[in-house]
This record gives sequence, C-alpha cells and structure tokens, in this order.
Amino acid sequence: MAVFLARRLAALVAVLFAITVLTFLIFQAIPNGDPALRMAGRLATPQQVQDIRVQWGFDKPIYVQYAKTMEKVLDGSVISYTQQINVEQEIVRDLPPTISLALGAGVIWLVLGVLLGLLSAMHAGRLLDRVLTVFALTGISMPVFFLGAIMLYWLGYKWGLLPLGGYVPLTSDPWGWFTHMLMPWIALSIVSIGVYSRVLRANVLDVMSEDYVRTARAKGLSERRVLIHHVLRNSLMGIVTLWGLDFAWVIGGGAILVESVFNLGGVGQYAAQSIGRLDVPPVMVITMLVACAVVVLSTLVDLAYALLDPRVRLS
Amino acid sequence: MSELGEDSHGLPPDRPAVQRPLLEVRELSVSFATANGPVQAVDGVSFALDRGEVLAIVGESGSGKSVCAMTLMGLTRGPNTTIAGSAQLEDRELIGASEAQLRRIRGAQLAMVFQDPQSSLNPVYRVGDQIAEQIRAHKPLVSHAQAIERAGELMEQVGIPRARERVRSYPHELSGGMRQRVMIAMALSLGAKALLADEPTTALDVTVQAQILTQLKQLREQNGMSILLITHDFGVVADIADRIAVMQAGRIVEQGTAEAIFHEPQHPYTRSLLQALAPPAARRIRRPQGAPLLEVEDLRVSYGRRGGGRGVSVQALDGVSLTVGVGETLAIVGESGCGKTTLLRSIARLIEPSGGAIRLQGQDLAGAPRRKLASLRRDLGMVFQDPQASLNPRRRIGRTLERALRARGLGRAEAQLGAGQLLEWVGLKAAYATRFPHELSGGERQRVGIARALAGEPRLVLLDEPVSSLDASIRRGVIELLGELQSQIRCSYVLVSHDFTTVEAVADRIAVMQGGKVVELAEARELLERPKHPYTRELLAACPRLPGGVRSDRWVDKETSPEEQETSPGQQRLAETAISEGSPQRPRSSFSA
Repeated sequence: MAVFLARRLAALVAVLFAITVLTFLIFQAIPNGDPALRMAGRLATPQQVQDIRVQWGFDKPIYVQYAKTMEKVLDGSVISYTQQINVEQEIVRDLPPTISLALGAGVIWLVLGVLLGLLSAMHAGRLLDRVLTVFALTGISMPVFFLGAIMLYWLGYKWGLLPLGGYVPLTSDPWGWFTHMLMPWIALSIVSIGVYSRVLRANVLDVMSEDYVRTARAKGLSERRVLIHHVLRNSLMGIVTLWGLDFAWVIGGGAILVESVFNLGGVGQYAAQSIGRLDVPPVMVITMLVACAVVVLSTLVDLAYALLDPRVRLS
Repeated sequence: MSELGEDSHGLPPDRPAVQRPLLEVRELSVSFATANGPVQAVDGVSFALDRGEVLAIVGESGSGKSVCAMTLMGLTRGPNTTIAGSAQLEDRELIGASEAQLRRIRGAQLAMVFQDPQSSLNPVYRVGDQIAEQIRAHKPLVSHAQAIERAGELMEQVGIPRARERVRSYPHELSGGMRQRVMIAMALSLGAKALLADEPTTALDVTVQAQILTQLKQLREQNGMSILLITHDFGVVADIADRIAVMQAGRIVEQGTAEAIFHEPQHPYTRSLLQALAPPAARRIRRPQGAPLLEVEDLRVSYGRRGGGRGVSVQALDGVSLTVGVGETLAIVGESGCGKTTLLRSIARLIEPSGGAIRLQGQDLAGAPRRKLASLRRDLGMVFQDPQASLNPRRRIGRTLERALRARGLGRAEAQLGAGQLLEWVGLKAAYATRFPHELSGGERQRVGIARALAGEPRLVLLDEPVSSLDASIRRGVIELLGELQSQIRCSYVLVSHDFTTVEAVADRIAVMQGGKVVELAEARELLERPKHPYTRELLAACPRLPGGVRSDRWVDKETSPEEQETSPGQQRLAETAISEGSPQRPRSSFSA
C-alpha cells in the first residue's frame, strides 16, 4: 500500500513536469504570442516594450523563463501577464463554483446513468430498452452550449423558473446556490447519463451471463437480490474508472462550455479567458490542477477497485 | 429401482404412491427459438430418480443433458424457451411452478453443482458469505453470524482443511477442488433432497476428480442425498452410478442399471461411447536411432513477481532435460500447474527460458537472437488445445492455411491450391476453404489446426492438449489422423496431455511432470505398466476406468464408427457435409517445395 502510494506520488511529479514543459512550449510556438507586446499596449514605443521584456525576464533563454515561472508557481506568487493579479488567489476564488458543479453533476449522472442502464438491461430488446436507447443517444449527441441556451431561454427567461446564470455561494444562500446550480448540473450531466447508461447496460448484460449469476439463481435467491447483489456489484467496476476520470476532468476546469454558458465564474471559465488572452501563467497553473486531479482521482479509483474486487492487489 | 432399470422409455403409469420416486420426469421437452428457427434441445425425456440413488446421464456436448438439469431448476425459462412435459419432485410439479414456488425449491430441496467451480462462485464475495447467503435466503430468521457458523461446519464436513479460517477466503484464494467442495457444501446447507451435478469434475485434475467423486459418494451414504450426475465421461460414472441413462440429440437412447449398461449395452451409440474409452490396441513402440532431433538440457523458466518484490519468483520449470528422436512421439503428462505447457511453449520460445539449452537439429534455440527465431521456428509446428480460440474467427479457413503456406515462401496461386490439398490431407473437403471456423464442428476445427501446423512440413510438432476439448467419440479419429500424418512426413511429436487414454494411444515415451520437474521418463508401456515414481502411480490410480471385467473389444461395432456419431442438434446442418472419411491422401508435393 505504502509502496503503491509512493509510486503514484512519483508519477504525479513526472506528469506535472512533462505537462508544464509542454504547455510552456506550446505558448512559445503560438504566433503573435510575445507577452511583452500585449502587456505594453497598442501605443507603446519599442523602448517601453523592451523595458517590459527585461523587467519580466522575457529576454532570458526559454529554460530560464520556464524555471522562473515554475518557481513562482510553486511558491504561490505567480502573476498573470494581462491582468497582473495573483493567479493562485484567483483560482482559489474560482474553485467553489467548479467543485459545486463537479460534485452535483457527478452524482446526478452516476445515479441516473446507473439507474437507466440497469433498467435498460433488464428490459433488453423490449420497448423500454429501445425508448431509453433513443434518449441516451439523443443525450450523447446534444451539445452543451445548445442545451444550455435552450434551458436558459425557456426555464430562465420565458418562464422565469430559474435564475439566468451566475453563482451564489452555498454558505451565504443554500437555496440560491441550488437554484443557480440546477441548470448547469443538468446541462453537464445529460451527455454523461447517456454514455454511462450505455456502458452499464452492456456490463450488466455481460455479467448476467456469468456462471455465478446462474449459481445465485440456483441458490434460490430472489431476482432482486441476484440483480443488486451479484449482477450490479460486478457491473459497476468499469463505471468507477470512467467516473473518476470524468470527475477529475470537471474539477480541473474541463467543463469550460458549461461554466461559460451559465457564467459560473469557475476554473473552466478562467481557463477559457486566459487562453483567449494567451496568458501563460494561469494556463500553466490550471493544466497542473487538471493533472493533479486526474492522478489523484485515478489513485482513488484504484483504491476503490481493490475494495470492490478482492482479486486486485495494489503493488 | 430394479424395475426401473429394465425400463428404457417412459414409466409404468400407475405405480403405488408409496414407491414413488423422489424425482419423476416424464416426456420433458425443451426447445429454444433461435435466429435459425427452433432448436429442440431436449426431446421427450423420461426418467426417475429414487431416494438415495445416483443416476448418471451420459452424453456428449449438445446432447441436451445439461439443459435437462437446468430446466428442472427452472433456469432455462425465458421468452425464447418452450418447455413441455412434467417433472415432479415428490408431489410438487416443477415445470409449471411459479417463480416464487420454484425459488423455495431451488437450493433448499433441489441443489445444483456446476462444471467450472472457478466461474460458479462470485469472485467478489467471501465463500462463507456465499454459503450463508443461501441459508438466509430460505431461513430469514437465521442471523448472519449463525449462518456463517453453519457455513464453517459445512465446509469442514465436505473436507476442506482449515475450514473455519477459509470461511473468510475469497474464491480465487482456493484451489479448484476446494472451490468445488464449497459448491457441494452449499448444496448441503439446507439438506436438499437431490443434487444435480452437472459435469462436477470435468474442470478438475484427475487426482482432485477422484476426491470429489468420493465426496459425492459420501453425500449419498451419510446424508441419503439422491444425485443426478451429468457427465460426458463413462469413466467418471463407473463406480458411483446405480443407474445410467445415455442421451443423444435430446433423447435418452438407453437407460438401465450401471451393470447392464457396462456389460450389455444395447444401443449402438452407447457402444461407441464405451469403445472410445477403451484402451487402444497395442502398438509398436518406435525406438529412433541416431542423433536426437530435439535436445532440452536443464531448462529453467521462472516467473518473477512484477516490480521485483522481495526477490520472490516462481520456478515454472526447474531444470528439465529430455530428448526427442526423429519420428518419435514424446508425451508429457501432469496436472495443471506442473509446467507441462510452459515446457512446450518455451521449446518454441513463446516463453523466454531463464536458463538451460534447447537444441533443434543441433541448433541452439534458447540462446538464439530474436530476429533469427522466425527462421528457426520454420521447423516447428504447433497445435493448440482450443481450436475455436486459436483460429481467427473472421478469416476463412482457406486464408488461414494459405498464410501458413506463404510463410514457407509459396506464391499466391500455389498457396491457394495447397490449402485445398491440405484440407483433403487432414480428411476434410477442399470446399471447406471458403468456410469460417464457426461453421465447422470442434473435431473439424482441430483438423484445420493440425493442417495449419503441418503446412510447412515441420520436423517437430508441439501439441498442447490437442484432443481434450473434443468429445470422446471424435477424439480417436483425430488421434489416428495425427498418427498417419506423422508416418507420412516423418516428423516428431511432443504432446502435452492430462489424459492417459490419449497418451497411451500415441506416445512412444512418456514424461511425467510435477512441480516443474520431470519425475519419471520411460517408454510408454513400461511407464504405464510398471510406474516407478509414487506420483506416477498416484496419477494412474486416480484415472477413471471402466469397471473391472468390462472388455471393450466385445462391442466394437464395425458399422458405427465413432466419427459418424458426431452429430448434435446444433451440428445437424454441418453433418450433411460430414468429414469425408477414409485414409487421408498425401497431397502432391506442389506446396512442399
């Protein structure tokens, strides 16, 4: 166990190094990416631009620039190029909406995906299965910005049932938090519910033909117990991996579209804005956040695996 | 019981109630609707199981014997299944029973043990919990702790060592034999009156098989349990069954006391099955002269734990030395995990040896660099256990064989011609070239596997359990084919098997392996008749045999060769284009250039 965790920690360091180097290089390669020019403004003289370049260290070799940036990232003093505010404080401020979005949507798509997938499998080939299949495929092919816009128009503007975007902290107004999050949750979950229900349906059908399910029936167990205890338990393994990675993706600001459509002001929205401004430091920090989230979540997934399946040994 | 013995079809209609058997099946029919129309899996089967009796249903794959048992448990019910007839357990009808009624009978009155104990237990729950679950499903008032306590007692009773601790074991932590004992303990847990055992020992090693059969006998003697034993192997039923029913294509073709079936079999199909089990006719042992074709010296293979751990490694092969002469057949026998398959694979360098030498025609294989392997392997052929899994399902048979021939450097046209000739050579029609593997029966597929292995006219052919996935009655045909092909191209065979009947039929010499070592290596007859090593003796003793005094040659039936019996409902369409029998013809040398 200790060895396992130590190895994962080492992997995390390696992943962070690789991903930051890559991100840094990409922004060097982007045309018109010179930050000094952008910071100096449109009316600046060449001398002013040169001053900024020297002042921020943009005249140094690229590996020195990388090292300087990373040093600042690690001691929490990194400043964004365009707004010149502390990036880490900005991200800490943006995390609550993103975590609210990830937790709520993650629970919704997991529960509904499993439920609908199970229902679909139990009725495999019959009417209910076909109807659910159509819904799942519709959900999978529904773009978030489209669905978001539709919901905002009808639920928010026309009928006035839900607020038109924005974020209210849970601590100041729980009900406001809930009503503001409801549409983003739905918009983000729809695709995943579709995917998860299809995956679970296939898993359940696979497990149903396993010999031990036949044994469970031969023992005289009720159909309900066979289904929940023997079939579902063994079908959930694949879903756990999927969920861990999807959740990490949202935490790391992956839900850029949903956050922007509903103006949540989360990490994803910050990422989108920073990329638009070719602002390297925030993008570096956010990619590191994604990488951390993915490595940590996949470690948790593996731990969960070892709990779910006694044959799995962590080593 | 005795009056049933003589009765081969149906039952006397008005039997007094006192004498009613425990389980009475009348005219049971099961058919499944498939995309290709209905398949009649069970077709009017009638039999009776008395209290404390062991009735064996013997038949080959596809005969409907398992469907029969599963139907009694209500496990074949479904929208695509049509079930007719009646099955009464004491005075309760099973066929028409509601799900709720059936559920009370399953596990409590009628218990079942399945073929593969590995897959029959849920891998994610402790075995004790799985037994307890069954107890509590029928007796909700029993607490979990009490049920676990009882599970421990039961596991002890069925002979699991350290049963009280193993209650907390997961299935993968137990051996195959122990897992099957857990299944038996489950069957005992509620004092079921009858046990349906569906091939309970087929997936087990012979020595373990013998132990499980003894355990089943004890169940009958100590618990008075009736057992319906379903198997394809007459050897298994020989000293446990009171009565035997022989099934073929969904029907019971013969039914009688074990004595009668073994000594006076009436139906030709019964005879052909028994004949397949008979020891093969004595054959001349070859003693090759001159330099050996293959020399294996002190071969070692070890599997290290991944990541190095604490230097823990498993010695799969622990210093194996042997030779194989030109044109000779060496058989390697042993139980699962003894290293026999590892040995075979490392000879072909499919597994990297960690030490020792392998010389084929004087050339070193063990130390050869990887890029030279392809040319060295040209003199090697390999036949695998499961022809279904080892043929590419999306490739026509002809293409598979053409590729083997083109690997020898033949042109496209030559290879196409050669593929047809190869098929004829192994006793199939050349027209099979356009078929896909799933369109062939198991025996036919293995013939294709052999054709592929021999396409390059290798000097040495490695055979990994080549007939163990085939029904007994078609095994002999494949074994004979192997013999004929060998004498035609004068290749040597190294054959791995766990089955002494197969080995006896083909081997010149036999090596017995245990724990990664060869414990005894001798000429076939010598080893079978005068085994020296205690482990060899143990293996031979555990082999299921026909009862003493039964002489198989008495009912050798010239008209019904076993090969013609290779029909089951699913295979009837294929049977129309059955294997063209007769001595395989050596193909012209167009592909042997």
